Amino acid sequence: MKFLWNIASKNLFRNKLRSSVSIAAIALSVCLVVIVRGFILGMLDSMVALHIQYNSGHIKIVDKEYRQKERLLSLNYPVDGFEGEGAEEMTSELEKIAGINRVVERLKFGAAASKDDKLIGMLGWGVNPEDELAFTNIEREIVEGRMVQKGNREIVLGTGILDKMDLNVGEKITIFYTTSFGSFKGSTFKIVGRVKSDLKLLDDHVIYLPLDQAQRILDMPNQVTEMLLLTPDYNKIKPMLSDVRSFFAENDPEGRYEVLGWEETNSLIGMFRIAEHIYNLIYIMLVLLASFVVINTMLMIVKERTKEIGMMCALGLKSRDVLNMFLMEGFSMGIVGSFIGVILGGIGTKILSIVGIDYYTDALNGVSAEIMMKNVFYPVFTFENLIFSFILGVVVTTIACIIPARRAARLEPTEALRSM
Amino acid sequence: MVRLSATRGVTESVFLIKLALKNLTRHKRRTLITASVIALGLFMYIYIDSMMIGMINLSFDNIIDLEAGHLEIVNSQYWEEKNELPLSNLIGIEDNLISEVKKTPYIKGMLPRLKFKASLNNGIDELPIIVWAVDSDLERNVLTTSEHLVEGSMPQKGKMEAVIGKDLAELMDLQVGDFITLVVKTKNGDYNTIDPVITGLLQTSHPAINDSIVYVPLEIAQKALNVENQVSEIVIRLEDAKYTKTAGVELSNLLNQRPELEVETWKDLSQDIIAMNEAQNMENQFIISIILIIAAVGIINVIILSALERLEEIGMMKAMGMREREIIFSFMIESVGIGILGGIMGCFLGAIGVITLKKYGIDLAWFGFDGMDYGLPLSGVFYGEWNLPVFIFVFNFGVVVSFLSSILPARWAARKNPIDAIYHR
Repeated sequence: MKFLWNIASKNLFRNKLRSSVSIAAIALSVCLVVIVRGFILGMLDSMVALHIQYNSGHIKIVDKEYRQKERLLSLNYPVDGFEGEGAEEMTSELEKIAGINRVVERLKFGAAASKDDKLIGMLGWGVNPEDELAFTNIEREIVEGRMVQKGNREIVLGTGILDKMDLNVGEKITIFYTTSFGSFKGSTFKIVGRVKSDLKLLDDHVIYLPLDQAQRILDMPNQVTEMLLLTPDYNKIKPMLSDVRSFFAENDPEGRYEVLGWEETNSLIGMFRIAEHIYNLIYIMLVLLASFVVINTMLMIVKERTKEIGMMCALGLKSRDVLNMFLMEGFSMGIVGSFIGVILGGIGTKILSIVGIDYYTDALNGVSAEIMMKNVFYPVFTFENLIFSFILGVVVTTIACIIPARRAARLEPTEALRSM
Repeated sequence: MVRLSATRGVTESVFLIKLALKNLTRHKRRTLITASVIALGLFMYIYIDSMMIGMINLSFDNIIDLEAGHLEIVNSQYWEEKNELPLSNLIGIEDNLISEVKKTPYIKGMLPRLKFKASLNNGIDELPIIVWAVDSDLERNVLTTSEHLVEGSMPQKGKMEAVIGKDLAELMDLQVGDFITLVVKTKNGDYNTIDPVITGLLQTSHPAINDSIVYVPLEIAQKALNVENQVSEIVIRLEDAKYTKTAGVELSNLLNQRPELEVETWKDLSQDIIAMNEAQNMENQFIISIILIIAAVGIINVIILSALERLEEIGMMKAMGMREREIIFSFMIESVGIGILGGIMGCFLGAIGVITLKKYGIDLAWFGFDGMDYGLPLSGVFYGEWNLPVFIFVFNFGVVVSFLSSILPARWAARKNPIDAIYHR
């Protein structure tokens, strides 16, 4: 075996130019795979992160009826504890479950404000400020002022709404809403912060107010519309999810509430997961294209060395050994090429992950606020990505070399010796 | 003498081309493999392009047929804040304005429309929606909305009737015959309600119409909002979309007595879609570039391999007086040949792809887009479209890439010393 390795590595250096073109092709394709994959992972990561922060948490608890008509933001199906004992009690019970770090309560309701003859629709979010600050990146997105504080009649608005209303931080705003009893009311709040995030949802729709204030104005004491449970790692929610589900099966036998993992609440993310598989095929294809170069070169090498191969066979080398020898040659080219590619691609993604790619600025104008995408994407730099691309490069190249290697192995020694 | 050398030049190039073509067929498999890399890149470009044109066309059709017609007359101040649907800067409908607009060439129909925001109340829940108040009789000539009724009929002039999208009806548990309440803000800033009965349900390929638009008769809305005879816009349908530009210019001239009004085309309303299309085009070009870069490496490889193989031949030819330039030329012809072959294969595959796309279409539901509103005027099945310029573009692109990538290796091959080359082994 070692002897075969020796021949294979010597053969690599017989024509340096030829080998280096093959290696360059592999390096190029692996480098592209690293960058494209980093970009896709970055996009998915940012979407998942935003979805978890502003929509689903790791595990979301809502009323069954509420979920079916989420768009209505109905206040008739609140989360108010088991048998109506209250949201706070439910929260403290949920926090006792192992692996649940935090319970984020949100009370979402439809609201509007008017400026002259215009009616501006808004999405009211009653929140616990400490929870939001700890869980979401809202602190970074508040460009002016601060987050609301518990117990105060304060409000934080998106910059899009403030511009439309022609208001500034420090001024007051009156919002209109329908209470849980169906009466139409208005309340005035002091604006304490401006959100500017590049996210349509936060900039143009959401208004933050303290949970207690929202509960008071909507006549919903100790009630919320959804609870988001946080676990240490969103990729490992399975055990917690089944714990929470069995906890609910025990305490909520009629099944009033629904317990949802973050993947179940967004069809777009499910779609992206499918797209990831398709992209995996594309990566393989990219490397395969580069392998065509290698195959071409190897076919020529086989032809060139026909006589040699015949000689070796005549001296007792088995056709399996010949096959292995060529595979080893391909394998070494794969390793060298992939290594160079991974280094180049790694540098590329590292740079892009700092600079970011401004990609969608105009294109996202027409997209609805439910799609949480930012204009600038940051590809992620992970070693997992580098290792994946490296292995992909080596494996695909080696497999592609089977074609020329088999051709060499099938040569008859007598025929081969006579050629040329 | 001049003539003689010219003929000689021609015969010489014919000879070189023949030589290159012969060389090309020496390793059929190698040529084919490299050409297929090019073909694949071109195929993907053509396919994605056709798909996107199909999507864009469906979006444009939806905008023209269901939303905006071909031309719209609006107040220029209104246009600036059109997304807020204000009740200021409206257009008063007077007889002489109508008669002026009717003089537009190629006009098929016109539709004054009032748009405003409202809250839809079904007695239990409330939902912010948009109301389009129109005269259904006029609408029939301008938009195709009434063809998409799945149940009931369009609201009749002057009656307290409304038509809503099917998705909206399902969400709010409404049926034909149910009463709804629309809470609106009047021009004076007071709140008022419209309480129509639902007479019909719509299902279109425009998601926004399915889930957030309510149609009511124009007079009812004007009365409830206290805007007298005013409307937000006048939608105009022409005999064909190709007259949009000329008719638009003519109409602007007809309206030059009224400087506050301006004419917008359906394209002005589709800016978002056009921007999105551009972003996707960029993506598509990125994909083809990646594949063609790899193809270029493949071509460099082929030239180097051929040159290595033919070192003796090259040396011999040089010894017999062939110039470097001619050797470079023959190698370049060879790689252009690969490019042409790849181009033909790619265009052929692309044509097959477009034919299947045109015949069977792509259902957005396959991608999980079913029934969800992503803000684009698009849902259901869309079909691919032929785009001949793209075929020509990708073919040329493939040939040019193969031509350019052959320059360096061909020079390298031609520079070999004839003596070394002959005594290669």
